[in-house]
Amino acid sequence: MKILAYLKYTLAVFLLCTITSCFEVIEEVNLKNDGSGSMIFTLNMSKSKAKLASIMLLDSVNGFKVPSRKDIQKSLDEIVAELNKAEGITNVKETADYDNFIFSVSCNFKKIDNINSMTDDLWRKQKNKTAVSSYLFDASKGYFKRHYQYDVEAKKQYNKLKSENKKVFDDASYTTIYRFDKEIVSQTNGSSKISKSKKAVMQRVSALDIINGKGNLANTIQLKK
Amino acid sequence: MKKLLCSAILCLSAFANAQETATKIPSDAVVVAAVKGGNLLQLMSVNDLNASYFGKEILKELNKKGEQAYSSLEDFGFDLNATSHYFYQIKDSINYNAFIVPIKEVSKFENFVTTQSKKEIVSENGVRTFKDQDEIVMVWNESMLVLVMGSTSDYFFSDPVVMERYGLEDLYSYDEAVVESTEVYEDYPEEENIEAEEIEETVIESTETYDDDEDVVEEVVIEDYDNSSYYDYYNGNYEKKKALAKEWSLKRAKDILAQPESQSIIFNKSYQNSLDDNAEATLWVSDFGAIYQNLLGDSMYYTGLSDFNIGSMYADSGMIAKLFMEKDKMQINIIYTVSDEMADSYKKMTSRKLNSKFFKYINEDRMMGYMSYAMSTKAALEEYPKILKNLYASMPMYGDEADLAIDFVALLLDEEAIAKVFTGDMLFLLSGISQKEVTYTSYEYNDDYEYETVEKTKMETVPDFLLMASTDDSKFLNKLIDYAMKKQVVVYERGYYALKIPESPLAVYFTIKNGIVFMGTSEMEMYKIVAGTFDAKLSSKHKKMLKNSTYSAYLSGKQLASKLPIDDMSLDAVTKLNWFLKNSEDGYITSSRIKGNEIKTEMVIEVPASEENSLKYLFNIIETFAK
Repeated sequence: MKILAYLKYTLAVFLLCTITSCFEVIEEVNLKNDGSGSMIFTLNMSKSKAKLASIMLLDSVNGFKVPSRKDIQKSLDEIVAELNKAEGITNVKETADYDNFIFSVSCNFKKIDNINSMTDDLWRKQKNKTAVSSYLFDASKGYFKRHYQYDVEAKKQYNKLKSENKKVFDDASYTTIYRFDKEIVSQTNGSSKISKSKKAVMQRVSALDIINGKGNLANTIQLKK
Repeated sequence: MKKLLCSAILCLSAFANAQETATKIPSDAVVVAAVKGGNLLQLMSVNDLNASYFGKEILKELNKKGEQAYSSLEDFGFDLNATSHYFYQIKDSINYNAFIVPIKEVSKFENFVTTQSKKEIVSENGVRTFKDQDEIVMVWNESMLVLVMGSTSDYFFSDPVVMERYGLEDLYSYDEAVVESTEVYEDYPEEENIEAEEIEETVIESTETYDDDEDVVEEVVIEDYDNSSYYDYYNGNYEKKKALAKEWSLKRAKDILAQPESQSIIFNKSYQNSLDDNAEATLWVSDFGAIYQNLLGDSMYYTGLSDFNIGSMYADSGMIAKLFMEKDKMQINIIYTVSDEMADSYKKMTSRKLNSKFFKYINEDRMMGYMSYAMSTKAALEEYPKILKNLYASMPMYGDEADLAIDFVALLLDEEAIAKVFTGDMLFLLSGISQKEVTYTSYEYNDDYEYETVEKTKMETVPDFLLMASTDDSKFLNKLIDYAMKKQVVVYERGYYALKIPESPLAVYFTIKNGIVFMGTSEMEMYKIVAGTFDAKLSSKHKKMLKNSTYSAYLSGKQLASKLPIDDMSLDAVTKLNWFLKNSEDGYITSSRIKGNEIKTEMVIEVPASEENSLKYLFNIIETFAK
């Protein structure tokens, strides 16, 4: 049955030659007046599903080991386990659609600082000094702040990639959506837009802009008091 | 020293008076390879070689020492116009890998080796060597260099009598469970009676200072191992065996240099068949059975698999391979010889020809490549158990059980019924490229940035495949299709079926028509097959190749270059691959049906008209990919 294995590899390699790839990340925060809320983080690679399905037929591609479905599930489960351990975080859920390659993790938080503590912990485990991103909500003053600091390391890591691997980021995007109970009076990020109901702010940045430091996710949103 | 060895082997592999060096190959060598420098230099001059990426890299590496500036590969003293040989020789205690490289100017050669190795040369009756040898022993005279690397047999040295003779420590001597060998060892190795001869060494060059670090290993004296730990014994034994290997290799190298023509391989008829004036390189393997048994012997000894009858499976099997570098193509011809028993099985298994009805569904203008396979399923199912039984038969522990199990499986299989479903011939076609609409999940946002999941479509360029397999009885397959339809895995379209596999990156269609199972990715192609409107086109060259081969594979460089959107693909070395495909013609492999006891395999890579010849073409490819 060696011949079937050859056919499988030939098919996968030829598919990799032709199919394009890209992905999108969506970060959503729904914040209530009392500072509690929910957060959903989604990775949608559906547009690349044919390519990913081809890659999954191989052991490694472009020098990277291809994770199996089991590996992916294990990583997701680990994230969920970490979240469950975090203080103030409840109702942690994960979804994994392997047909369309869409993965998401959601949770509720008592206060937005619980998310910061959890991400700080994760960053420390990754041996990074400080998180590049955090949230602040001051209920008394009525503002929500998304702190974001460009990390040059992203560009360094990107530049280390071979040109064929860099292509993955060409059409990739990062979307943030913040929803509030109260109306928004103002926001400071030039590329973000306030919704018609004035209760949500959305920003879509290309992954390349984030890598190159052109895309800024920082924002201060003033809510009606 | 490593650099020296590498460069010597590199020179050898690229280039290296056939008669002279071949007479030095012992008559019991089991593998012999020859590289004909003269033939190669007709295709590429030394100057061209020096200017090539390959030549420049060797010169750059060897000039690093800075003491001697080499500007040509001729500066190393080798006779690039002559034939170099490699051979492999098996002894019960040690195996030898040896290279014989002709020397043109010994002074240049010695200058080269002393500069690179910083070793002192000693001479005895015109036979020269280094005072201190590495694991790869070097001995030479005025006209040729002999490199020998010996590796001792762990199996041989596991015999207590042998261990005692050579002063090895028994690693398991404290393990009471080990049964002492009662065998009387009769088959002493030829080397065991070697006595250190008193050699009056003549130092001919000693102006260099010693690089002491590299030679420390040489100086290791076998000590008394007071420490009784396993690892100390192991390491001690390892050093002792290494010292023996070196001593025996040096003796072997000197023997090779002194060997009279009468004791050489040149009178062996099978070896003579491998000689070809027109070939640039040849490879002759006398007996795979002996090689496998020897190579696997050590590892099998430790894994308890030593009773597998590997030797018998490959008994009387050998190989002759010839490389031809021509103006318009590179070609490797291989003749594999098998035993009468295996030939009988193989003849039965490959009795089936590829179904010529397949040709009605190939269009050469669109096709990028193919793979064909013609085997008789019935004969394979009948012959495999026989081969397996032979392999397991000599196992004292489970031999009977294995025999029974194989018979039982053979009893359960209805060879004829299976062979009717899939007769055993198939053809896999890279039939073209098409645009396919694929769906993906995206999001649509309302005015309040709440989103809903929507299914969108996009066009993807995908390669098309068509697999054809012969069937004499489609009843079972139709039953399978009915079942799959009930389970909603298969959907009936216009005379053909669509297979719904969620994990599959492509849609797959299939149908059964005129005793052929078709499975492919192009719906249009499948429709044409069912409707009988397939626009077939196939040249006699391909028809012949497909019909006369047990196995064949073909790739069209031009079609691949024109159809694959290589610039957009996210694979390694895109630019290099793009260059290669744009500078490549057809490449194919064919394997013939067995004739007598011989199976012939032919591998051909055609050379574009823009290239001077196949060797220069090969150098261009290497250069492009190495940079």
